[in-house]
Amino acid sequence: MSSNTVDLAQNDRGVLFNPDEEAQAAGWGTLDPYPLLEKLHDGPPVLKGSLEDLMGIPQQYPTDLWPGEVYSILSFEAVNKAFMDADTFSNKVYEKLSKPGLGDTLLNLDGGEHKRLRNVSKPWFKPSFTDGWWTDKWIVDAVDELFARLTAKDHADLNLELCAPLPMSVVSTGFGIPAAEALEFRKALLLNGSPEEMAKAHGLAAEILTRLMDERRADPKDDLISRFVHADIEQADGSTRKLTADEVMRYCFLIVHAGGGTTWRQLGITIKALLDHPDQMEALRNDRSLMRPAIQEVTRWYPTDTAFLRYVTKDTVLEGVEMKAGSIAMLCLGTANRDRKQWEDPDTFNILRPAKRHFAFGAGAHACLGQHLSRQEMEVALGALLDHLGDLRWDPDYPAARMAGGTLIGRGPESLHVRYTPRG
Amino acid sequence: MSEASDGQEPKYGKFTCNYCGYVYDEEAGDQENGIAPGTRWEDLPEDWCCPQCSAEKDGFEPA
Repeated sequence: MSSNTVDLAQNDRGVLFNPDEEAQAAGWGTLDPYPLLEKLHDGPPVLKGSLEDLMGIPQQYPTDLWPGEVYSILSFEAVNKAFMDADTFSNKVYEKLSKPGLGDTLLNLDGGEHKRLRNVSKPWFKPSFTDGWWTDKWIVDAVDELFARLTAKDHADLNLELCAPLPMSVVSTGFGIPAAEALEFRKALLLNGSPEEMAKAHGLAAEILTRLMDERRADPKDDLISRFVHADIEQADGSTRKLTADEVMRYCFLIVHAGGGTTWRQLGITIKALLDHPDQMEALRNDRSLMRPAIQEVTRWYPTDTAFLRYVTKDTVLEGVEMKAGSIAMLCLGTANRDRKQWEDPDTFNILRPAKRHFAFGAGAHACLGQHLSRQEMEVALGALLDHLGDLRWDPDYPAARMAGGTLIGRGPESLHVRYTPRG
Repeated sequence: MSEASDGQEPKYGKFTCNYCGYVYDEEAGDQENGIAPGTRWEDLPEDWCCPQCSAEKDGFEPA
């Protein structure tokens, strides 16, 4: 039987799947954001200046690519208004952040163009489809395979043996990329190097995808590449056409890139939070109806990305602060998700608190396409963890796990060394 | 959603997506997706989902 998962313990992962190594490769500082954000909670909801300046850390987001002023959007209400007004607070910012590497994708497009492109894949990421097709066909098999490895012993680094391989394997194989090529594909997509090295790596990823698209055009299978190569996209005049090979490729790059990274880190954050709060892990073990609230809470309390950027397209006023067209707005999830006016004791991780909307997966027209899939992967993985790893605890032979990664981008535990009693 | 009891037209309700914040306004409908203005929440087709994040009807709550 062919494997559905990547065995990262047996493969050369390069700098992948260690948040600090990934951040350092990208040139980002790695300080924990929350102590630095603390002082911003009692101030105005919108401040002139970059988050990094307000936090007193070196620049992480390249906001100096634009000549305009930079503003930090801090409160729940202000962040919500900015997310919900995509005409004013535009994703055009990604023209300089993601487009150079990924081309035109859902990230940098706006308005009708964005909506028509997103509509192509919306049905494949709605909750009923993630609960059904994704779960039955990909997630359960991948989780079973990973836990077969885990329960063959009594200790593991769950970062490398569960959190990282699960989403990479699910998204890659669900897309149609064989598990054997998933790591090579991801390394090629995420390579940081000279322009020549990056062009060569992207060429390798494109080669894999081109081969798969050709195969699926001739012989469709039950995977996303087959759906994409046969999908219609609506055009501005209401007519439809098939996606071009280039459009399918860019869609795939984006989904594999985003889907493998955020869920990895967020699942790790969740497991760390539960191990650090054993009473809450026990509550979840005994009452699985707490699963969704637990995932909602951990994504509020510690989202893997602390801030998102938006480009201000026209002169506007947000919470009394005037912003000129051409400014950059830094929407701070780290403060908005812990807004004292929205949550009681918001710095505390508490899966029993009433569930409430927050911004871990963004909001508005550009809310994360794969958020329901991400939640589903975490839910199945955590269920298996509670079922199969008895007496789960930190491994005393290793230093305490800590959050790592970029201060504003890509945070998560650097390792999760645990001991347990395996259960079949 | 509440209905007027004095013979007036029933008020329209609003429903917020718990995942992305989209608000379905019964009065406005969702015309881009073929839902006419005035369509009641309970009359939305079963396969209707959030125009922004694809959440289904059980992912919404009254605004």
